[in-house]
Amino acid sequence: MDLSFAGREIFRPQVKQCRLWMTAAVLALCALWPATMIAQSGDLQGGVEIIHECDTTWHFGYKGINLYSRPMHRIDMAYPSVDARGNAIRLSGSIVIPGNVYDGSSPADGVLLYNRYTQMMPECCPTRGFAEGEFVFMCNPLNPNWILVESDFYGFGITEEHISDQYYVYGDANGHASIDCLLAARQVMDERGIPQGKYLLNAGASSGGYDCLAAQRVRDMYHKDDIRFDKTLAAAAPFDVNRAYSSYISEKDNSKQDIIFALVVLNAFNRQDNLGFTPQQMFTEPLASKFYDWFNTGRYSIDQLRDSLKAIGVKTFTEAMQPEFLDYSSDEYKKLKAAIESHNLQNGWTPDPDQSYYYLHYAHDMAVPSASGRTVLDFLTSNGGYKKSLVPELTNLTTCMFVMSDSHTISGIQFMLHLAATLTAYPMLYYDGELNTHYYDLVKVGTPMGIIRLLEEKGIDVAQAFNSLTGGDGSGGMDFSSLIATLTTYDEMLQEYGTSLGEVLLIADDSGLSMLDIMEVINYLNSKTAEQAAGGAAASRAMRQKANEQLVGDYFYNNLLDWLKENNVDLNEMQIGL
Amino acid sequence: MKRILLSLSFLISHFSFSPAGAQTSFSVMTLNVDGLPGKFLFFDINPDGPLSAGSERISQYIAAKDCDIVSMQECFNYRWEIWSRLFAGYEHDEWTGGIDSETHQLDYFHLQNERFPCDGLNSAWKKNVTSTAYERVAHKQNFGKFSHEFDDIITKGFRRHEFTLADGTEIVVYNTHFDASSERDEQLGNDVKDREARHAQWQQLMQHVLTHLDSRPVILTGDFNSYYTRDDIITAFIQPIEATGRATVGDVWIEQYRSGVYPQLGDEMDADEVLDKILYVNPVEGLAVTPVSVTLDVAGYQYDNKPMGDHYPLIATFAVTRGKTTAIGETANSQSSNSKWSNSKSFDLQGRRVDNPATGLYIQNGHKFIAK
Repeated sequence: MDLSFAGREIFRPQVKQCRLWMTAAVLALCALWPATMIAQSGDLQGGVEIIHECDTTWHFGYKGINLYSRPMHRIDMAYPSVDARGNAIRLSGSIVIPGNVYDGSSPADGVLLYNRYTQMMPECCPTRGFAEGEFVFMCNPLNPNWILVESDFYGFGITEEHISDQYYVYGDANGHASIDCLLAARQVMDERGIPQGKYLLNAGASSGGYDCLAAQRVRDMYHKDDIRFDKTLAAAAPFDVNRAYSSYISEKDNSKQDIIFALVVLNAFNRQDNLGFTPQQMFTEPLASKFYDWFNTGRYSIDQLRDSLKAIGVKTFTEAMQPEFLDYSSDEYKKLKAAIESHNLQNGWTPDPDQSYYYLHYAHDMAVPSASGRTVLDFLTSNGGYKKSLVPELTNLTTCMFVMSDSHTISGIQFMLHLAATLTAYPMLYYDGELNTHYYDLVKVGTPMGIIRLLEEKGIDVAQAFNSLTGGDGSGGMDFSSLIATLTTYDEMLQEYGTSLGEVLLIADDSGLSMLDIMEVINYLNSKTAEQAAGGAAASRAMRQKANEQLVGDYFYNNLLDWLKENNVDLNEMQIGL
Repeated sequence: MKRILLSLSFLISHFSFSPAGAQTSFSVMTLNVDGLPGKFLFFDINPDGPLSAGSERISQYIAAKDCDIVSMQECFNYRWEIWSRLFAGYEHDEWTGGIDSETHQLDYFHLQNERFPCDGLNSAWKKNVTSTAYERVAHKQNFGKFSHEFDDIITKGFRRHEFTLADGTEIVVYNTHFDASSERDEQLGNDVKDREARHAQWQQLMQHVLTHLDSRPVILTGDFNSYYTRDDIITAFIQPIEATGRATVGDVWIEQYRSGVYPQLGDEMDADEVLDKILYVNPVEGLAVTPVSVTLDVAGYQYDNKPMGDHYPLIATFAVTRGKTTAIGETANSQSSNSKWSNSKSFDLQGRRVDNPATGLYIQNGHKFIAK
């Protein structure tokens, strides 16, 4: 996708003026806020200041063609927060209000706390008017009437001179920045009398997905009383950085692996935790010599860095890293791993079970290993009692790990389209303060047992159908182990698709079809006496498809896809610097 | 909105008497005409409703009943059919629209912001009756836009008419449709917000009645979606009015069938109670009305051995008296002495009906008695 104009705001002179102002503000604040001062997240002492405000227009552009425009009103603010060590700092962030909401012609549905994905250049942050991902979910025919709140994060906006020290997936540092940005935005909107709607969502993809989960952690630990997310939506998050690091090592010679994020992450931990590794100690030449300029000066975009790595012949993790950092037994590896572990988001976090999640991760994501995403599922499920579900909104957690794609970027775009659908569907699903009961009726059918019960109500003997399909003689279906043994014969076929039975079962489990579900169905079917003809399985699939097709969110999602199709947009050709 | 009547046991009941000092009489019908369309967008919202042909039959029924005043609810998409047999003998008030996406442009992506302007209410009155003043008021509180019976997708409320009858008698008649709750939500205990909405609506109605109360009697008709055992009608509506000392309140069904004894909130529901009600407020100083007959016309409201709609018509005839009214208990007592059911209905001190009273203290015909 040509993003030459997508999401750029139109008042550049004001931005320049704003930068000067921000620089002055930062200098002044450096004097006002000694580094030793310890503050708590959420302490808005020092006040919130508006540093820039403008009407602007966001565009959904594709290959130089403007497909959709939407007037927006943007308020940039400086607000107090804390850095990773608890020192008081001031950060900047934006409130972006759709024009029709700002002028009062449409009510706001809610506030979306959005966490930006990887930023490498100073101009790629919200207060610079950059909205490369945001336009996908805010600027489309669904016209979500949501107010966007997003922090620049440390190292961008008014702290851009510290760009080399950005907190990249570094514990909950950006989580504090995000939560404080939300509190500051609330204060601004309250003072101005800007209605904020009924709902509050928290979202982000890639490193933004990590930061959105970090924000959820900060909320759960420090702001339970004043912030309640109606849903947290994350995608392709390097939630467990060490697990992701291990995945990079295990695939160290795989040239399909997108190693750019691994380099940014390891660099961030080395710098932030003062581990003392020089670029020459960590990276191979010529990357080591170029590393500071490429990765710490903010002069290059992610895409440019990718191209540059290729240009110097670095295609694999092995080619980028010194051997010690690929060796699980080395002191260097252990030192780095310990630093990463000390900032693990899971440390000390007991998720609030009243919060709700949506998580998406492609099975073969080559930039952020899906193993890291699987940790998200395991962690939330085991700690918060979240129940996986095939059906969005029925319970807390639904994943799209079953997508057999390796594209990190496409997963991000898909997530944003889903986010657009969620923003549109949510006010209807929860307008009455609870999940729409009619919707509930619909989706409860979309579980394996729900489908079986429905089929039986229609007079279809599913057990007989099951027996027939599995070659049974009417005395009962297969036991579980026999079934698995039979299924393994499909391994060869699945290999053509780059997967295996084991992986299919694993991602089925991730996606909500848990082993418990499978066992429940099999046990149920085997307890029945066969009576009638086959055909149940096909009917079952049809029922599930019907139930899912009618889901409110899917309706909007498909609507968006139709719109993109009508405009000849190929998702595979959409390029965003995720 | 679409309700299944809980009981068919409240069959035709009639009683009549001639209170001393009666000057004139008039009849009032309240009927939910079940006028939702069969489909809206891709939803089947009233597949078994009367639709066009059934609405014409309902019109025929209403005309045949020859009531002086008719209060209709859910008069949405078939108002021409409903009016078809009434034009000759009746006037009617405004129709505020139907449930359709042709006359009301919808923003499908933001349905949460949509509300149809219609209230579904419609009143008709005989041509020898005059409506001298009319007011339409929206409920301040509703619940359920995409669930809980979708009350908030339309502009529910009440209408108030000041009528002058043929002999010059002046009365006030309200027509209303309250927030509904689905049977499933009730069974699951998921109807709290519906109850809160109805409670607020009873209070809003009470305040409106008191604000405009003068020497004219007030008749309140409609589909109140309320049961005494489920909704605190007494606290929200009846007691506040009576506490002012300016008026008394009665319910024709309570007077007729329950000997003036109200069911208690939280008790098991009286299977004879229906959601449609006719209440009356008699100012202490001024004219008063007394119900002389009450009919829930189950038998007459049939076509092809099926009910014409999902509610039955409730019809009451009132006598107008002048001067001070009696207290409710006395009124009930005087009426119930003429009721064919009055001598057989007993209630315990909690207001629950007792068919075969054991030894103890009970209420019968509005009086306590000891069963031995």
